Amino acid sequence: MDYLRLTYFSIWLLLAISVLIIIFWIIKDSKKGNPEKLAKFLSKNRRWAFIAIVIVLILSFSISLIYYPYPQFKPKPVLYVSVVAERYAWYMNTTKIPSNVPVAFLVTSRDVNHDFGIYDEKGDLIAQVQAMPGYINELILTLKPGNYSVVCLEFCGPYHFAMLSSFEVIT
Amino acid sequence: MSEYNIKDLKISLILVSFVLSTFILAGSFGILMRTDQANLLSLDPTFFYTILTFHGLLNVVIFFLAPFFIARALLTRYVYVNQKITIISLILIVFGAFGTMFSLLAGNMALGWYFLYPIIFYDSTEEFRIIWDLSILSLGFGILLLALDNIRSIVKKYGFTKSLAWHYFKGNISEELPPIALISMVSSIATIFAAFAGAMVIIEFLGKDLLSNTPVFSAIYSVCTVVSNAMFGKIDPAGPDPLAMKNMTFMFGHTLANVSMFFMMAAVYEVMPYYSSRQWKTSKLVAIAWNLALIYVLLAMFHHLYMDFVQPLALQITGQIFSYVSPVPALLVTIFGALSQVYAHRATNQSFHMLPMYILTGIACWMIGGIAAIIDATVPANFLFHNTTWVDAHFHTYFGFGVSIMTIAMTWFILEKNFNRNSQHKIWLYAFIVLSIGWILHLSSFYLGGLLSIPRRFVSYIALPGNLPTIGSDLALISIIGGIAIGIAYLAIYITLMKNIFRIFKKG
Ligand code: HEM
Ligand SMILES: [Cu+2]
Ligand SMILES: [Cu+2]
Repeated sequence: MDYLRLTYFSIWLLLAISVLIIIFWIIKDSKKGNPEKLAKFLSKNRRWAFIAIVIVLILSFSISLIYYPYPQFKPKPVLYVSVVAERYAWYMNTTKIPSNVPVAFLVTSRDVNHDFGIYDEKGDLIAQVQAMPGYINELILTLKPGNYSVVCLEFCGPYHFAMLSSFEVIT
Repeated sequence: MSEYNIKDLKISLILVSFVLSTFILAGSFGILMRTDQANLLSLDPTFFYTILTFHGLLNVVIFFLAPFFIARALLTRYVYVNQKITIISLILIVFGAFGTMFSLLAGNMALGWYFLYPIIFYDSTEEFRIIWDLSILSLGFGILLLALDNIRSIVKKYGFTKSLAWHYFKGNISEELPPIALISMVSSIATIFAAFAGAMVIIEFLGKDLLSNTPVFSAIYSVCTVVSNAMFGKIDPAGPDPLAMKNMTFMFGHTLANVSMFFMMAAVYEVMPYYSSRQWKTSKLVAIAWNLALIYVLLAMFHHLYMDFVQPLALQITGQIFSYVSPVPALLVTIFGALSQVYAHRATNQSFHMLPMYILTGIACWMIGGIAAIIDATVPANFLFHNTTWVDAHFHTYFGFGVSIMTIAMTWFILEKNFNRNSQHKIWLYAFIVLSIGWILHLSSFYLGGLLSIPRRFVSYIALPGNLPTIGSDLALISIIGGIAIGIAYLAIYITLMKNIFRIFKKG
């Protein structure tokens, strides 16, 4: 599995468990606790909590910038692949794509909104971009060799779930 | 007997009865969808997406309305709200809600709850589309009226700047503003933005159908199109622009979903002191927090368009910054405050009332769902989680579980403290346990689905790559068990509440 996805999930899980621990602590401790003391404690430490949260958020924000998927943050592509979505099919000008070089998928739609989702062989979603009528979204990727599935990830009508395709990345 | 206006409380109880009853149908559709996704049934795809739309749209609407009406009724302790407007709005809203249900089901309208333009012109027939448009407008108009009257009645008593607690910034607290008034003010202003954005979208829908027939309407339509296109950088009067429409749609949808929790918090600030015997007043920090909330709730909406790479980069970054700002005031002020309130309740009372426990759970849901939302509001995370069931996971946590359990708590508060209905039954404890287990199962299936790349809104996972077909259906199975537990607990609560509400109205 993509380590970035696992990281994000773990952060959520850790924080969610912390919330539950706080809740249980409140239920347990409040039985004999002193609400005045708690209120004082909270207001005294609010400033530190504030500083800590702000630092964490600024750090996460800065780190996230490295991983932005937008073309401005990506190397210049050596090849362009056109992708056109139309209920319920994907039209690509090639389904054989070279590996290990940046390739730009130019994605658009002829009817409603779709989403060009790319899954690897193990069934991990590795990339996606919306396919919007009237616009061309540029998704630049450097892929490893293998077979990839295309899955529509924006609800586009009753057969949305069957709007699948595939392509191959070759050495 | 009661510090609140009894008639306004009763109106809110009527609305709540409507909400709780509608949820029985909408929630059953949720379980039905999971049964299909687990391959235990095979529903017709159009039917599946019709009930998906029904479930999503109706649930969002009713769990916005419940806190909205409850907060308004509780506001009557401090200000006079216009009861006629409440009744007119209630009629418009119920009328609109039934129209929406009818057109969706009878017209097989499969749109998804936020009906992204132009899908409505592909999957519905003109007659049903127009009924649907008008129903949504009726709903929106009712909501707009109430929001405007909330603002009018608060401003009339406190004045505009003092209604937003700006005098607290300078440390002047001689004139007190109750938190419920401040938060209702902020939420109502945000609601107005949402209502206008929503109305613009619907008018553009209507315009496309009625353009040739009605010259007056075509003028309104053109204005809306030009304005909404121009707001998002497209000067093009030719017709709705899909990107502009998507921005407008989320200005509506995102705001509505967030404001639901805001109105609920307004009620929580008001109600908790009855149980904690501790005041919970507006302070400088509370004032700052809720004024900030107004800004970030409107600007965070751009996180819904991260996967539209053509959206200007500045807006993408704006979306992430304001999504990141949101937890700071919410956590440090409102959540800290609420947790100390619950703590105080428990410390000063020998027995633990289940009602603060319900509220505490709602707050935990707000936090856990909110954390999931902030992660998803990080562009590279969104690249991996967008439109997987992670999305379903986060809003079912804070909205599905959180707002609904607090709606139950608030209804219970109104019955117990204002109509002297004795509701200290064991049922609240047992229902709570079953409900929580149910939601944990149901939510886990969505969160794990997000981790494992299960796409949202899929009739069947069978054609997906790798071992997603089995993972998807297994998770759906877990979810069905959870859904049934939720259903059982919910019915017990529903019967208890409705029996009491019914008695109140029978007594007159
Ligand atoms: C018994 C409880 C519930 C169950 C079993 C349930 C189940 C579901 C399911 C299966 C979906 C579709 C998931 C997918 O994308 O594949 C869904 C979507 C949704 N649910 Fe629920 N849900 C429940 C309660 C709620 C509540 C209380 C809300 C309140 C806000 C809610 C709001 C939504 C929304 C907004 C959607 C998205 C609809 C769309 O994608 O257009 N649900 N739910
Ligand atoms: Cu599609
Ligand atoms: Cu699709």
